[in-house]
Amino acid sequence: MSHTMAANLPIELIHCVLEHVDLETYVAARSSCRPWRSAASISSILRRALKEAPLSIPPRVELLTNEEWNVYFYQITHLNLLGHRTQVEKSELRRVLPDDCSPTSVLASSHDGQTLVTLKGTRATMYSHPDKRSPWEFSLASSLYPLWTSVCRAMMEGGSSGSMVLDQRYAKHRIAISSQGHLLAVALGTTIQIYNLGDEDGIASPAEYVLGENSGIFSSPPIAGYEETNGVVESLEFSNDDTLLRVVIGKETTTFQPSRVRYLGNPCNTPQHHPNIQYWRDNLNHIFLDSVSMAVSLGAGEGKVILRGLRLLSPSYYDPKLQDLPVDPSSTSHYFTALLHSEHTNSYCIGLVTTSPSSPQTITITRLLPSRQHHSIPTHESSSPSTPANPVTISKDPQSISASLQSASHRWNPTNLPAASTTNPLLALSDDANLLVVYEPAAGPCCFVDGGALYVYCIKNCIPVYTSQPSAETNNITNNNPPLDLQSLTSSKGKYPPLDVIPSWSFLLDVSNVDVDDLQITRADDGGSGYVVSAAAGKDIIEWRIR
Amino acid sequence: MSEQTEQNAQVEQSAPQILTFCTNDNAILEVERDVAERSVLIRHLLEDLPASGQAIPLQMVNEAVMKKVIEWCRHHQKDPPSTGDDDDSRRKTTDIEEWDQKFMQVDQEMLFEIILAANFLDIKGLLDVGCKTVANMIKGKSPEEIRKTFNIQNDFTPEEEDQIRRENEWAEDR
Repeated sequence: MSHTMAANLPIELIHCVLEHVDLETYVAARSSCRPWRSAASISSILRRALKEAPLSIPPRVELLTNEEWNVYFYQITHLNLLGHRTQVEKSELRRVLPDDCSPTSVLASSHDGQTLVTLKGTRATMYSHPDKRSPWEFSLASSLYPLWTSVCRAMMEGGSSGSMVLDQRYAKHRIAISSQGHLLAVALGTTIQIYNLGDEDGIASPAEYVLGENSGIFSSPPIAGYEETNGVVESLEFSNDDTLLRVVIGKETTTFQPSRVRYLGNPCNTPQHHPNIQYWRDNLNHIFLDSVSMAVSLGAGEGKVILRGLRLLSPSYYDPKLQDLPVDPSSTSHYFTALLHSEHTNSYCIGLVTTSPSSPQTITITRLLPSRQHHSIPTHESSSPSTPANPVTISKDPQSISASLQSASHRWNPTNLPAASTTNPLLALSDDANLLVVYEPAAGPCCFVDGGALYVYCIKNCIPVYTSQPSAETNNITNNNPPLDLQSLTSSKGKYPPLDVIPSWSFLLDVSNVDVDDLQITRADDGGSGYVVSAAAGKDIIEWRIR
Repeated sequence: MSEQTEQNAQVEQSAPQILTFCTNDNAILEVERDVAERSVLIRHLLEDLPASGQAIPLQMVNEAVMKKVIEWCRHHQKDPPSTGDDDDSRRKTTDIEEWDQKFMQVDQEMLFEIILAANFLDIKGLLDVGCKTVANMIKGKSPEEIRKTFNIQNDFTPEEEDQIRRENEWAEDR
């Protein structure tokens, strides 16, 4: 019978079949039954399979033991998320909102979904139960709003063009709820307030901070070249156990326009329990990190450097390469991820920022993640003009989206990597610091205006069992794309590291035909393994379950 | 013309142009010599053994499979012989030409029998087409889907199962 034949093929015939499968299928076939696993675990066969991937492999089989080959294969599988891409389930949900919410309502919910806040005019309405009944409300402090004179001026300016619109820079509220649901952050324009929902004083006297008034206290003094923001708040989010408030500032017209990310708060002064309103009254003006300040520090001595979409990694992230560095007791270090733009580099990166009250911060880029443009590759670009990369085209048409995903089936084609050239990416990290999800909105003249592409990176670190030597074989990328010279891709005079020995290639999760406003990735909480990527798009939630 | 080439030509002229094969289910099949010589095994056999006129026994192949093999060899009779030095990109491709795709539209038992026969008879082209067909059947599938496709039993021991589960877990440290 056929079932005995497939499983009982002679090993050399299983090898013949495995010769013709891509690496992801190889991984799956290896886990299907004992004979196939045994056939697919032989070092020479593993080496042959790995030749497809754009990484360094030992030039000779005997340089690693069979066990080491299997571990190396396992590490490559893990860091490139092989086998997970084919197990994605997508679903679309409509947010359950209170009846009196309109499509334009400003709202936020706590991570556990137990608390929902909506803003209507100057009043915040709290829904503390899942059924969204029994709401209570309070008025936001008047200091959140610009003075009437400012409003008049804005109306006058708007009126000069024949309409009565307010200055759009000040038109939108932004809100966020703390993880415990007891703190509410509200921003309008340049003003940020934090309310304690648990007591009257915390409502009547919120903590307050205004951007751009030079009233902020930096955890590390910025160096020359830093420019204070002149933008407005575009999003708020509590992080780091509610000790930090992540603020995305947009509509800037500084050299670093259009946006930056700023973390407010001072985790060193955190009270024993969760931060209360007094913590925020004392520390809301404390600028823990500012992506422009970091970029200026990083770019000192070279051209312009920009960090976009900055996010701090959870403390569980570690880099074995940096574990032995000496630590100054007065300084604190945090890993972060961001989109790095510099003269030669467009790439998502992992870095380490070390702050000290007495000295400027230091920024070390520890990893560059593969991206479509990645580093500039002048040699290949000039020598291979006939192989233009086809970017992922964003279209609203479902058939085009399907075609895009189909074309992404080739895992090692650089055109399926993030372009890393956008000015406003959304980045989301899993709490365990294993996965990074990137949303790149459509940008540039060749793309349509709505929607964007989502990519998933594994950012976990590991010490490879094989460290490539200069003479080691580096696989070329197939599909006639210019090969990346993995060893020589250091840039900016060695300031940035080369790609990892095992580069973590992202996979294209999906192409969205609607704009994504917010992005999250969490562990699946239904007992199954895997993660859930959630994208908020208006009133809809799109979820991808990755097993 | 060298002496050796001359001798070969004489042997070929004197050899029968129709060969007879006896399959393992005792069927007798007659095949043109140049068709049968797509098989390296048969070609070597004919070179090494004197022509006896007797049916050549094929203990590993039954009549139905042998008929399919002959059909493939006849269609590919004029193909240039494989050099055996395909590069990786050539091997990785799973493109199958249209005639071969139709040829391989058989049940799984026959498919694997053809692969086994191609391997036994040393017909590289047919073996490639068979293996590519199987590769295409599992392409992009999960382990469970592969098992389902081939009706394979999950025969891993609990320990192996545990090992695989750990390998496929997201946060596993190594």
